[in-house]
Amino acid sequence: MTKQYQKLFWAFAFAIFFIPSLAHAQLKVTVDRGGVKAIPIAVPNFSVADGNADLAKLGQDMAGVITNNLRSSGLFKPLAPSTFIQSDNSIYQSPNFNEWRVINAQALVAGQVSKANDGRTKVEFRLWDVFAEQQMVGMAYMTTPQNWRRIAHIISDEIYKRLTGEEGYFDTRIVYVSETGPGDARIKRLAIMDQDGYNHRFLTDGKTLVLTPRFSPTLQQITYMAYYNNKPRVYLYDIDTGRQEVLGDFPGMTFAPRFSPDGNKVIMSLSQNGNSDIYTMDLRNRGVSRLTSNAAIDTSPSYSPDGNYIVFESDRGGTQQLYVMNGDGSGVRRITFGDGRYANPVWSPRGDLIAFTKMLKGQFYIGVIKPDGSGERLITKAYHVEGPTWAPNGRVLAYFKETPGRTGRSAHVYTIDLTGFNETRVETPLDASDPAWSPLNQ
Amino acid sequence: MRFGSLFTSVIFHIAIVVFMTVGIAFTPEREINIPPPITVEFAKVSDLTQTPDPTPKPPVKKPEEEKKPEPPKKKEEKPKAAATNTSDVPVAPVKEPKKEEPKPPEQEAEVKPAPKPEPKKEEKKPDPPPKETNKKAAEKAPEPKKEEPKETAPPQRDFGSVLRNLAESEPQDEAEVADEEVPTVGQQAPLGEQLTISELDALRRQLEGCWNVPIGARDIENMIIDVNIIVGQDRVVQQAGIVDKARYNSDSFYRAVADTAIRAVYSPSCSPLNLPEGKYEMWKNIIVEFNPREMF
Repeated sequence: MTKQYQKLFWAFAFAIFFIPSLAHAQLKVTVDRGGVKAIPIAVPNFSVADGNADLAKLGQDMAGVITNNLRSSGLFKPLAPSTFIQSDNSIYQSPNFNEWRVINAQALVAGQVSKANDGRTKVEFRLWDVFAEQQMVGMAYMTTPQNWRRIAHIISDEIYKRLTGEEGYFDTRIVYVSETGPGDARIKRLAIMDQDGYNHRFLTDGKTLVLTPRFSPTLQQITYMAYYNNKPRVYLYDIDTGRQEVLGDFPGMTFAPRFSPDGNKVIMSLSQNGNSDIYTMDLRNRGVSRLTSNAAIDTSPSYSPDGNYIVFESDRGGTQQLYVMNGDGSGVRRITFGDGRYANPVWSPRGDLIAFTKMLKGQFYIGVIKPDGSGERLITKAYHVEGPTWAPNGRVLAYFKETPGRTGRSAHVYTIDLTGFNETRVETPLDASDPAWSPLNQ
Repeated sequence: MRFGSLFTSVIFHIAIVVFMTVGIAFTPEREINIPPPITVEFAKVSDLTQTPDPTPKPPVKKPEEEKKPEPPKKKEEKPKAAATNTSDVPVAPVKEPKKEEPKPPEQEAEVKPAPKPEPKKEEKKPDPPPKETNKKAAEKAPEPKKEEPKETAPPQRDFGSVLRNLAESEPQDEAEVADEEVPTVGQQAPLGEQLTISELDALRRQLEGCWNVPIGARDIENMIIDVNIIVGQDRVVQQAGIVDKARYNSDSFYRAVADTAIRAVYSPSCSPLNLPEGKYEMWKNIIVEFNPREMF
């Protein structure tokens, strides 16, 4: 036995002293920084199997939509088609990677449009890693031709997801307040559009003033504030049916509504006798719960994605700051202590950040901060910038920016990557404010 | 008495004047030992230990000389290129996408991507031999750029502030970032059992220029990607694989960042790698750790 133990001891000693040294023999290099630049990607027109001119046009349009989506994200740099060497991009043949590598394409999207036997349109695509010479994604969709734009958004989302690890956000919509007319008689209507500005339509007629629309996670409903008989009330709007409904009959003003992550509750502010507190209403039984009870103004509540916490703004500390509390209203703690005033907090769907509006020394900022109050960053500023809303992947923010002009102020919706780069204006037919991003279409 | 005190006063005054004019020369001198200054010269390690000849031409010629005796390789490539257009290439013959088609219902419901296809199966690494030839072909294509990796892939921003914060100083524009010279390690690198600091530095900085970091990705600052690369004697990466395969297959965020690391080692700008040719045994198999924490 003792000899066995001795053998074990020496084996152990050998392992301790020699194996690490053998392992150490392999060279190791640490790369602790790199470039930050858009990924060069090639999106040639989708090929057509049978030479059908309509399908060829469709393939070209789809490639265009995908290209625009990827470019607008700021994370990709679509290469100019004039630089493409390879013209035959059939998805059933492996690309000649050398020809794509020469033009520095790191990724390649090859697609094909064809007509199925039942008359529907079949769209297939493959995403290739040019350097690693392997396919990353391959998908096929059957649809009616009218849905081509949505298919292009879905393909864009697949590409985005595979190359960034994040969910995409291209197959989404934005609801916002469309504004027109002079400043003292401004007409404000609810409007909805795809995230790239297409498929725009108005939801309300402009007879009542509408503010702060917010999407429901179920996609079918929007909650917003409207003035009815000069009294602000929170409403629900069904996108499919156009039906509107007042949410609760409270004695005071209700405003700043927002859905809970499961879509079952609406959280909002109720103002009575000059004091506003935060309430929730359960949409299933219309039961109301009061979450804050403070002499200060508590407003703009927003749920964390798991529904366990709520961030809101309050002046209970003497200045307008952000606070986080538990979902039942307990455990209130202040998270901002900087100069200036903080407002409109919105919890990221990713859960890691809270976006807010900040007013400091006559300037407006959009910023982000971690829920524990650390890591505050101001990512854009303007004469008046407000109302941040997150894309469903928590990577991109939309907000509106007002700029003074000769004929009055003009307002437009912008998007920006949470890194603070790639601010892009979303084109709308009229002035636009108060954007709210939808969840991914389903 | 008066005269006596006057006399005493005069004597004392004279003594004071004499003392002041003559000085305290007779007082003992204190020796001051000033330690000699230690000269610290700041210099780049790479400047000291790098290939002695700063004229880059000789190493450039060599690869060209190597190319000339390689026409047979070209001959090999062409059939391979042709093979890529046929189903011989391992990656290409992807599965029939019919399997990926959704059910044949109607309109929007149809639009929803059906159960995810099985591209993962197709992502399996191709057999090493064709990969090798492809890589050689890849090397061929950018060959005229062999001297250019320094210029083609510089880091684009100051990474002290990759995330924008208007409260601090404005970040540099991409164009404003000066192209840092990437030290190269030529064939005259000193031989030894270990790679020198400058040789490692050259490799590290070359890879930095090829790595496009997906900043803004969730938890990116805590991701460490180890890539195991096998390098040919031509200093071109023959094979690269993620060490933590389990996480690669289960964590989409990790996979996306890991893919950027793979793209970095395969990048034409990093082919061939800046490695000393005399130490092949040392670098034929390298673990490259991509760790972006310092950037945040």
